[in-house]
Amino acid sequence: MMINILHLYYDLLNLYGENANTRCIKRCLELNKIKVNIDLKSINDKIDFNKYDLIYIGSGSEEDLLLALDDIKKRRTDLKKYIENNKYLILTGNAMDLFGKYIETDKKIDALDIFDYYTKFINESTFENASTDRIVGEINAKCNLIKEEIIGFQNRCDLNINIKTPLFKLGNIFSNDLESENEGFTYKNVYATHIIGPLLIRNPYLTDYILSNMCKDKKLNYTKSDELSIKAYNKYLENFSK
Amino acid sequence: MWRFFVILTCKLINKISKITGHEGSVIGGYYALKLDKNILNKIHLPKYVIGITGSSGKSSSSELMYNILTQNGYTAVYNKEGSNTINAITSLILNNSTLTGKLKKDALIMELDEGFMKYIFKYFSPTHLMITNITRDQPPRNSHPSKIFECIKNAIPDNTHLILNVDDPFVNRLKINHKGQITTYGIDKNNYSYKNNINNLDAAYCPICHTKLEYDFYHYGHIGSYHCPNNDFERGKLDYEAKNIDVDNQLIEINNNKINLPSNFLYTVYFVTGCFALSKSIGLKDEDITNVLNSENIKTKRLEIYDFDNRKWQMLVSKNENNLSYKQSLDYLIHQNVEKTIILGFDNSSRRYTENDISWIWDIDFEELNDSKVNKIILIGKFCNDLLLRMTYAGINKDKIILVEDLNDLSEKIKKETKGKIYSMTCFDKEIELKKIIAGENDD
Repeated sequence: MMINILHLYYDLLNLYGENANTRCIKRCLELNKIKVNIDLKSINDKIDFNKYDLIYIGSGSEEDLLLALDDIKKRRTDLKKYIENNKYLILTGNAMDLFGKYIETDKKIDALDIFDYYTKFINESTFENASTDRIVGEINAKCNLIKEEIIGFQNRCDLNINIKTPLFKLGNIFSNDLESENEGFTYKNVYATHIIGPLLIRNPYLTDYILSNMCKDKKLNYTKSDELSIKAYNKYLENFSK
Repeated sequence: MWRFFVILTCKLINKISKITGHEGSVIGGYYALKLDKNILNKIHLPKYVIGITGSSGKSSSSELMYNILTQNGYTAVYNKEGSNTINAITSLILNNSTLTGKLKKDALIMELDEGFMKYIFKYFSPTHLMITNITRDQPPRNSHPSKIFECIKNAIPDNTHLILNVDDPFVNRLKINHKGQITTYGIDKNNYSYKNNINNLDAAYCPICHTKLEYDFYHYGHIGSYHCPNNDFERGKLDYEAKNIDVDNQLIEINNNKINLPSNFLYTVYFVTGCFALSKSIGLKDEDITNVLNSENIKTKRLEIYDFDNRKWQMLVSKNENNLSYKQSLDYLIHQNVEKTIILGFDNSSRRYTENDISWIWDIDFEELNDSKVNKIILIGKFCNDLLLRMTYAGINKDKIILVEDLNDLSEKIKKETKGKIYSMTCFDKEIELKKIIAGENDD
């Protein structure tokens, strides 16, 4: 049996080392002797969503996000069915904006309207050294799914409002709406966070949690962790814990 | 009268700052702007007001432009210290002006920060503006290239003559709707170019019709030769193109002139070609430019090469803040035709910001270190385990990798376990420590 992964908008929403996530999934599954296939697809490509066990989408510039939005809206029915069928969807950075009701820039742009939250782009700087208007910084968060801390980095300008089922909990300076302590979003097997880049490589415990559940659904044996990744995770906490 | 006072204050403060051991290139401008925020409006500027901006290569370009102009009898000033914010530019202009508000030179050359440019061009327009490239550069500060593009685009005045590196599709986009003159430059295919897109991460789509751009070749990242399949956008024919490029032997040709490069790094081809195009736009003749470029007095950054245990050790700066600069340094290492040991590592992502983002290591094609001439790769610094993970993903044989968590062990490890010329590519924080280790070894 083969696990099929789709890296969607791989050449458009790929801003901060996001390719690391699909590479991580591949390596972890292969460590467990599970065969993996990764397809790269982007705008205008024909996609058979039934084929996939896990879809990953990363973050992009605001311009590219809206380009992807135009395309993904044509795939709404397929994606809604995919999610309701308990299939896995991992979103990092601003990819979660695509799935809300709408995105407010200087105008209001309809999004997929699969989930109940909506997005607002901010226009004030919260980072003193930044020459642009962004939320930027290192993340330490808690996650209900696992006991280990989550680490990562944010670099974003989107606020997500009206999320009641967050993926992580953290202080309000990096939360979805900058008011609550909620970060990211979960629903069934959808895992979304504003953390950018190599989320899964840097958080081996979260990766193992998600992948072992996925394998359980498919009656595959997933028991082995990537020791190198765990060591890097531990060293980071040792060196940089505040 | 007030102008007189503001200029005097700026000069005095910068002098005092210099005497007290500070840089003296920024603070005077800060106070001058406090006293009169429109002071830059009130200065009589030279005939040529030249701006140079982009994610990388702007300091080298500014310095070379200064040399080309001054060695051809023009008088010029530029921000030599590399400070490129509004306070620095204000200092540069006021420090070199008379107290009656005249900058009596032929040319003002300004290396400009992409983000701060708009605050400067509010007060005056440059006659010429050269844009070197737009890439992922200091993402925690600049977010992403499309934001840098917007910053530059919105700052460009209508009448400015643009000198554009159109090998970069982001820079090429600046042509669209620009009303002033445009001169383009770029570099031809060479032995650093490649066909497949491994690292083509940005600007993948046509800005007009949003179809994926097709590339004939890449130099690095999204820089190369491309066109839109619907003919809506292309690199096209260039006004000035470096041809017959031989990076290793430091030779190129522009307009059939043979030109010596100041060093054997690919990026020197870019800044030399850019300065050629800019000089031509100002009205210099080919031979005026080539005479300077081929003369011995073009100062280049000295290669930092040291002796260590009867081996050579060359130090390179690791450009963590810009993945494509980092990648170019790796390309340079791989192009050196000797057996080598490479030391990589860092404690901090940047010296300009404290945020430790390490996502960029996944945007760099470390896979190219799978090369038979690489004897060992030594990983140091607080992120050495993250680098180890990256090397593992790059498929590098684990016998080739040495993890050194305690720098006290480094010297012995190098001597006992490695062979070949040593290249270190580390961030500023580790460089100091490595120099101590080299000095310690040479003292024994």
